[in-house]
Amino acid sequence: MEGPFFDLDIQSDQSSGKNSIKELINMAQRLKWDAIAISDFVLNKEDLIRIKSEIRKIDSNIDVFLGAKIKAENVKDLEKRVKNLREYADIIIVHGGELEINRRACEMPEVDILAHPELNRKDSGLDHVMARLAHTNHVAIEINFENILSTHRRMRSQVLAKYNRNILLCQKMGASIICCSGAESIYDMRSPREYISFLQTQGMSIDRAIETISKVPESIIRRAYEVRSESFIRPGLKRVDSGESQ
Amino acid sequence: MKLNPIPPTMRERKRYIIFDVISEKPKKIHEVNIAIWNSILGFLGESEASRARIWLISSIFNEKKQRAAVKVSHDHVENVRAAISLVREINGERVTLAVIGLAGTMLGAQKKYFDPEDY
Repeated sequence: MEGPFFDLDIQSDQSSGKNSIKELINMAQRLKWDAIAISDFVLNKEDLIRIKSEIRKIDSNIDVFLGAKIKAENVKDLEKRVKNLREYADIIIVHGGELEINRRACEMPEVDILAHPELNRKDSGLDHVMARLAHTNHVAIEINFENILSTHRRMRSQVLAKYNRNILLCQKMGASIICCSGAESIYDMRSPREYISFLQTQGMSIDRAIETISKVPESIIRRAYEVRSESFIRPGLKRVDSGESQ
Repeated sequence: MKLNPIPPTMRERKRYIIFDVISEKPKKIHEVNIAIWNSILGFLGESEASRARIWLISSIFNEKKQRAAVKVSHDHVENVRAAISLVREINGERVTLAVIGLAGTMLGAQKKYFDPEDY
């Protein structure tokens, strides 16, 4: 099976999680992930710098990226915090659920992932316009495994129905779908193969299922590094050395 | 009177899903069995579960390594694997059931994943 596999939404005890970064990394190694991102809820760049120094202290065989999960109160708050944190985080994840926040996140090219747009909603939190915007601005729509794990019976079937709708919309509009654990403890983490099996049971082809945990997160990471490189000027425009051909 | 054994060509094809139970305290096989069946019945339903022909092999459960195998029909592997991954707790304690491999025969599963010295 083609890798490498990424899980970009894991919370440590630095915010809402229950386990330390080291424990999460050890579990990820055991479950055969190639890279993970510690994406804690952060308020400012100082939080990110602190988490980054914690990550640097740990010696691991897998790549560990720094993510920032933003739970904004309103659209203005979201814009402000994305602008402040973009420079310091590898990945920007927006905590979805509110329709205005979902819409604004899809409109912002600085955002990488819109997490659980359906959270605490009766509808799926996404329409065809938002899906098209997400495609245009390279915002991936997340399928959060934690929401499935933490629900049962009727509630789980409703969550699955919303995910199925979002998958359909994203496939139709060309938006990327990313599957993340959303883990808050080591017991919320599963191996990459389990996510693929789960997505297959939801009607996704095996190739698309693999993409959601390999190609899509990989492209997010690559784009983040590209944007932060010195040669980057603006989307579609970068500085090229005289000897380098484009 | 005994039933005649079914000819090999008419037998159903099966696979063995091998998984580790990751938890703070070791679990008993019957606890794992209940958790898996609850998850499978909840996620797949009775009809699909009957077609999957699920059977947890208690005889090879490795209590030391917390490793178990479940027999399943070959065309329901993905469904059962997904259902196993949805087990969240056993007896109120958080667990992760991590699938470590798939085998075509019991002998193959035992050779590759179960060490006789652990029993």
